[in-house]
Amino acid sequence: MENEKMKILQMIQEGKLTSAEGLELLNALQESEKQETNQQVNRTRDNSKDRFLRVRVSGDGTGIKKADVNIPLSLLKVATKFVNVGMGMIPKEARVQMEEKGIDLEKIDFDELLMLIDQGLSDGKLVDVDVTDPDQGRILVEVYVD
Amino acid sequence: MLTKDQSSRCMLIKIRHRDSFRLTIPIALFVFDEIIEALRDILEVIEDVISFKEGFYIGNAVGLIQEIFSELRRHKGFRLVEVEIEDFYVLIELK
Repeated sequence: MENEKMKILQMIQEGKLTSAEGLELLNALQESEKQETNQQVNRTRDNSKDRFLRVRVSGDGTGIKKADVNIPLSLLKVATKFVNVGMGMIPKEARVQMEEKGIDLEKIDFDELLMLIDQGLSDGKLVDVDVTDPDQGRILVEVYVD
Repeated sequence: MLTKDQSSRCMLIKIRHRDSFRLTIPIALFVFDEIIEALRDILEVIEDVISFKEGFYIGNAVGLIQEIFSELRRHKGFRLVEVEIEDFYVLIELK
């Protein structure tokens, strides 16, 4: 954008454009810049406010027949604060045992995870499982964002 | 002043066991909000006198619960949880 503005000013200086024409071009440039910023803001707003993390479980058998959970993504962002508070409540011994097994909770960046879910998935499933159990029958599990 | 309120006012919890047992619990979210706010104020006073655990304030945890409810209220008219297991059916929805 800055380069284009400089070019316009240069052309005015060289007499290739009148000042009125230059001003018109600069205004048009500013308008398109504003539109681009608004679109980005709306995209982020749409992304966080209206999108849901949906978990669908359905089964034919005698156990779970149906389980639907719909969580707004914006709620997940608030909930990650809970995770950060909760981390501090885990006893030291438990942490040491987890670390011995290779699990380091402090390395998990839940904010980044949420951002990846929010921005990275326009459609598509995170989990899609379809199994048939001899006792429980067919079980479908889907986790997706929309 | 007529403004369209986009926030949820009520959370409905419905529990059903076949035809033998039905329970519907309506929770007025704005009342719940006020209760949590009052609880938070009380906890702030208590924590000035008694500290439960170093570096941890129950008031903060209650504040987070309040934030979660506020966030939930922004979304109107959706089913949060719907589960049907064997003879039990549980529904939590926001209206």
